[in-house]
Amino acid sequence: MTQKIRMKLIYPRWEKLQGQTTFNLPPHGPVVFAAALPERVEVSFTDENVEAVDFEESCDLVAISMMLSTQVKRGWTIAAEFRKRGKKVIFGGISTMLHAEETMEHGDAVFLGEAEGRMEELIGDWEKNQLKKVYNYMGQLPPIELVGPARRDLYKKELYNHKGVQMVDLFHASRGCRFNCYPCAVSYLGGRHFRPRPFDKVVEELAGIENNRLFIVDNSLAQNKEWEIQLFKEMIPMKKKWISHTIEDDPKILDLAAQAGAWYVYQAVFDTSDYIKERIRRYHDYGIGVEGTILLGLDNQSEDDMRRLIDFLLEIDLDLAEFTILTPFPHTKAFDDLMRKGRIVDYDWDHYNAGQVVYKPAQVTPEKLQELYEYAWSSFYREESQELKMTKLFTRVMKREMEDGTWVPRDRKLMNKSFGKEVKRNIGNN
Amino acid sequence: MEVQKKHFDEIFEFKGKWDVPSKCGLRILDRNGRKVVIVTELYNDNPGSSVTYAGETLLNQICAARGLDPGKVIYIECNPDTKSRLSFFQEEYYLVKFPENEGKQGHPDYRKLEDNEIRDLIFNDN
Repeated sequence: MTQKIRMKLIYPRWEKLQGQTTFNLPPHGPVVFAAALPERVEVSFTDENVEAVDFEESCDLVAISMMLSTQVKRGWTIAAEFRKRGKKVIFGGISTMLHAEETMEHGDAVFLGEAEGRMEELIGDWEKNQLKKVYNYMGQLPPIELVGPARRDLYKKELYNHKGVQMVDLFHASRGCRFNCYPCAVSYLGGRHFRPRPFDKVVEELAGIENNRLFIVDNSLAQNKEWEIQLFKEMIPMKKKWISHTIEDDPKILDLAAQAGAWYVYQAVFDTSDYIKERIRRYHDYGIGVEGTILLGLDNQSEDDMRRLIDFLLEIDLDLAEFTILTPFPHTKAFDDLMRKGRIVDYDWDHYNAGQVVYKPAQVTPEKLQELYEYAWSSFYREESQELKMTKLFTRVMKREMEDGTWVPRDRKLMNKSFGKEVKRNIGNN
Repeated sequence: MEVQKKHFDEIFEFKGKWDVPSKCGLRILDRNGRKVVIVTELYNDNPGSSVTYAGETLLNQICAARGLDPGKVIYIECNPDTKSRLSFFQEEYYLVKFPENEGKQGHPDYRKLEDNEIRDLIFNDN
């Protein structure tokens, strides 16, 4: 019988932005990676955002999966602790790729690229005590058919529950992106071509997810109309309710998306045009909510432009808004442009949280941009708090679930818990 | 985000960061006996590293392929505007100097070219 290898898989914590409601969603990257491991690897998973890492836990090998730039320094610290205890540490994930050279200094191996079909090599090397410093699969994308169902069985589900309400599960139906947006590194990470997963694999994975509420994390669903139509047709009988990024602005597709359970979408709001106003209205016409994502600090934005944009959001009836400050993540055009001009003033990756100014803006001072960012949050949520707006969206989805018979009541055992921690309940005031 | 052909004469394939297959636009001009190498970022048509990120490794690959001395060429990066609604940036040309070509260490030096410099150096064939 093959001996099992015990892998400790860790997702490092990061500092959440002040003043914003924190919801911990079950991370997708680590469980997609785990699905690519050979069967002889037994995984124990810790998401440090919801539980502490036990450095004394018995294991053979440690893997650290990182998505955000704000996780990398914590990841390096965790690695140092395990390496002090004689464990080999492997790094992987999006921010490992973005910060590869630095991360190499903190681990025994870094894996760059997509994991499917490559883990036998890495684990085999570890078994022979011949780990390579770098497993470089950048630009060599595996066949998309190899992407299997994510290992959601590794989650401690009760840690992703807020007062009895289970958080959405994350899911992906495609990889890659045909767009190449200014602040985004996806094209460097996942290839510049849209790569849809086969529909039978998508349906198989969706059917295996117990949770009725999902976040479809694909970069954008508006990549290919025929694919989008087929995806939504496949999803209709499943009666899932879901959040996603942009959906194609086409009445037929929006109608199908609504039938397939579109709950709300993240939609970039980059100007105050009628186009944006109409785009939001069309989502609403089909009963799809909109969380506007607003990027502040672009070179073409003056203080007046940003103030106008913030005021505009209140006029267009957005359900939620999320403000971010332009952040020059490595391997983005924003990084190239600002670096060339010597405008990046802070390379502390802990500050790359999209809520902190790390560069010299073109038309305002860094202090003014920070002030505008804070003004944006407070202004948008002045009349109605973020929690209240979310409750409204939540109520809408519950109503739809009740109508189609998919509603599941809160888990009463977890009514006094929020992400694993005890909460005080004010009866009649929550 | 398609880059207009006026920015380059040919597509140059190079190894980007982590050897990722990458592409840029390339134009090599002769100005008073000195070679001017202009690399253009292709955005969506570049499957790998940007010309800025590739930096000196790109210059060295071009020079190796064309028999040029990296220390003797004038090296210019072009970041074209693609007229996309989501561009958020201007078309810019930079004169780039890599310290190692001058026997030094440190970061590359970028100087944005003025319109008249672009006209004289790149688009003036007289």
